[in-house]
Amino acid sequence: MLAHSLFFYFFSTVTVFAAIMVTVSRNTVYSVFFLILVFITTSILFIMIGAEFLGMIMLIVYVGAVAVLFLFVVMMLDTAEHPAQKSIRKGFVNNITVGSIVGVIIFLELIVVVAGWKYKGTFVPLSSINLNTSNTHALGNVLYTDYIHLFQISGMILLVSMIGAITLTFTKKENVKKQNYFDQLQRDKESAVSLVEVKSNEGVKIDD
Amino acid sequence: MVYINIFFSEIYKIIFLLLPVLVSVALIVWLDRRVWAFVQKRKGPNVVGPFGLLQTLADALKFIFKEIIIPASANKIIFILAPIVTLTLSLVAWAVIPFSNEMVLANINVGILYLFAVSSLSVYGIIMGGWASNSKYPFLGAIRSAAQMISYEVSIGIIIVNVLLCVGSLNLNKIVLAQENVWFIFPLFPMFIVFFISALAETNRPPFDLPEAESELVAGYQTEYSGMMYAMFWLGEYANILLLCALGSILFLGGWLSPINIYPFNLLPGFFWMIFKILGLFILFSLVKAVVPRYRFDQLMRLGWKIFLPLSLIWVILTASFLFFLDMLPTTG
Amino acid sequence: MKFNRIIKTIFMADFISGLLIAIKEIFKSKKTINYPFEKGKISPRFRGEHALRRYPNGEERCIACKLCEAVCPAQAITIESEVRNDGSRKTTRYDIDMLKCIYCGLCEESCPVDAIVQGPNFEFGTETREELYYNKKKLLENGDRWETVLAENIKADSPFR
Repeated sequence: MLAHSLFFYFFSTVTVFAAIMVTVSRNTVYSVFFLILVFITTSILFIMIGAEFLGMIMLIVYVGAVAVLFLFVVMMLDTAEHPAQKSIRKGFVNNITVGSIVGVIIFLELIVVVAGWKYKGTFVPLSSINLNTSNTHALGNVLYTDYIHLFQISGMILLVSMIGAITLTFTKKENVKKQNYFDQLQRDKESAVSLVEVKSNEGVKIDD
Repeated sequence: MVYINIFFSEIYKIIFLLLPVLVSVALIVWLDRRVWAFVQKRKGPNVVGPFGLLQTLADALKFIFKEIIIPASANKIIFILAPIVTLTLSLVAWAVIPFSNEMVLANINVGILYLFAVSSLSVYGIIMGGWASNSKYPFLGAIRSAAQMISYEVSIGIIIVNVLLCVGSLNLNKIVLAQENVWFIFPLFPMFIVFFISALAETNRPPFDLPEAESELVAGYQTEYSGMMYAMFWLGEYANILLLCALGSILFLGGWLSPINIYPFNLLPGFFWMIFKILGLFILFSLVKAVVPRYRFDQLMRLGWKIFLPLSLIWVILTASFLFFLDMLPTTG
Repeated sequence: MKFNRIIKTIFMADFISGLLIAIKEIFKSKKTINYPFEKGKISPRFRGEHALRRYPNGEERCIACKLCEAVCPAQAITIESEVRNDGSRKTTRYDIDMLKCIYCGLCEESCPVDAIVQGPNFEFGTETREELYYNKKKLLENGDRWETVLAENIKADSPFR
C-alpha cells in the first residue's frame, strides 16, 4: 500500500503543479504543454484507482485529439513571449475583482458538487452493477441501458455541432478552378489523346 | 524489501524486452534498405558485417560522433525534448504486445486502448520538434504530419472497433485467442487493407511521407536536427513502424497462433510465429515504399476522411448486424 | 470503359500489378557492382589523372612547347623551361592545379609528343588541398607508374586520332 500512496502523492503533486503552471507560465505554448501534462497525470490517477478504461479514454480523447488542436491554434497565433503580453499583465489590478468573484463562484460550485456527491440519491441501483466484471463492461452495461437516451442525445448534439462548424466554414468560391480527383482518375487514352491527319499549310485547330 | 524485489524484477523484464526491440529495429532498417535496393535491382548495404547486417550499427556510431547543432533561435528545452518523446513513446508501447501466451510484459485488460493511446501521443514528438525548431520547413512539415496522423488515427480506431466487436474484450491476448478458429483477416479482409494503408499514413511511410517530402519541405520536422537527436527520431520512427506491424498481426493475422493447429506447425513456439508475421508485414511495408509515388496532401486528406472513415463505419454496422442476427455476439469475458 | 476503371480503382488493380512487378524484380540479377572491390570497364579514352610520360631510354618526352599551357581553358597548367647543355629544351617546372582542372582532355590532344596524358586512374582523392597541386615530380611518377596502361590506351585509340 505504501508504494501505491507514494505514487499517488507524486502524481497528484505533479498534476497540481502543472495545473498551476498552465495559468502562470508566460509562454502560451508552454501552457498547453502543461495542460497536456495535467491530462496525462490525471489519466494516470484514474488508472491508479482502477478506472483503467476512463484513464485510457482520457488519454485518447483529450491528449490525442483535443490538446493537439489547442496546440495548433496556439502555435499559429504566435503569442510566444510577445511584448503585447505585458499590456495584458497591466490590467491585473483592475481585473482582480472580477477574477476573484469568478474564482469564488467556481470554488462554491466545487463544494456543492462534493457535498452533493456525499448526499446523493442512488442514480444507478448498486445491485445492477456486477462488481466481478471489468469496469469497461460495467460502464457499458450502465451506459447502453439506463442512460441510453442521454447517450443518444449527446451524440446528436455532437453531430449538430459538427454540421454547424462545417457549414460555417464551408464557402464555395466563384471563379476558382478545382481539381476533381475522380475525373482525373477517369481519364484514359481514348478521352485524352486523338490522332489527327495534318494537312500541309492548313494545320490543326486545337483549343476550340 | 518486497518493493525492491518487485522493482528489480520488473527492470530486468523491461531490459529484456527493450534490448531485442532496439536490436530488431536496427535489423529492420537494414532489411528495409535491402528490400528497397533489390526492387530497384541494386545490391543495397552489404559491406559492414555479414550481408551488411551491421550497417545500422555503423550508421548509429557515426551519428553518435556527430555534433548536435541547436539553432540559435530554437526553443532549447522543447527542441531537445521532442526526439526523446518520440523514442520513448514508440518503445513504451511494446509493454503490452504479447509475443506468446505468457511472453507479455503487462497483460492489462485494456491493452488495445493503451496501444491506441500511446500511438496517438506520438504526434507530440513531431509537433514539438517542428515548432521548437523555429524555422519554416520544420513547422510546415510538423503541421502536415500532425494533421495526417490525427486523420488516420480516426479510421484506425474504427477498424479496431470492428475487431473488438468480434472479440468482446480489450485484452490483446484475448484478441489473439479469439482467432483460434479463423484469423480476422478472412472475415474482415477490406478492413485489413484499410488498416494497412492507414498504418502507412500513421507512420509517415511512402506513399504518405509528406512531412518529409524532400522536394518541397527539405526533411520536414527533422530539418534542424543532427547527430544523435536525429538518430533518435529515426529509431522512434522505425520502432513505430514495427509496432504497427505487430498490431496488425495481432488484430488480423492471429498474433502468436500458428497458421494451422496441426502437428508440424505447432512445434514452433508462438514467439516465432509472431516474429514471422511481423516480418512479413514489414516486408510488405517496404515493398510498398519501393512501388508507389508520393500522394498529394489534399488527396491524402480525401482518402482518410471521405473514403476510409465512411467505409470503416459502414463495416462496423455490417459486422455488428451480422453478429447480432446470426447470434454470434461474443460472450462477455 | 468507365465502369471498368471504377472497378479497377476499387480493387486497386494497378497497385497490385505494380507490387507483383516489384516482387519479380527482386529475384532478377543486380545491375550494380560492389564498387571498391569490383570496378566497371573504362574506355581507353577515359580522361582521369594526369601523367607525364618518358621515352623508353628514360628521357622526358616533354619539350616545353607550352601548347598545353596555352590551350588549357581553366589555366591550370604552369610551365617554365630552360635550354640544356646538349641544346635540348626541357621543362624546369610543370605544375597542374588539379582543383582547377576540368578534365577536358585538351592538353593531351594538343601535345605533339604524347608527353602529357590523362590516364585511367580516377581515385586520387586526398585529405588536403595542397596534395592536389601536382608538380613535375609527381606527374613523372604517375607516368612511370601507369606507363604500360598509358601506352596501351594510346595504341588502342590511335586509329581514331
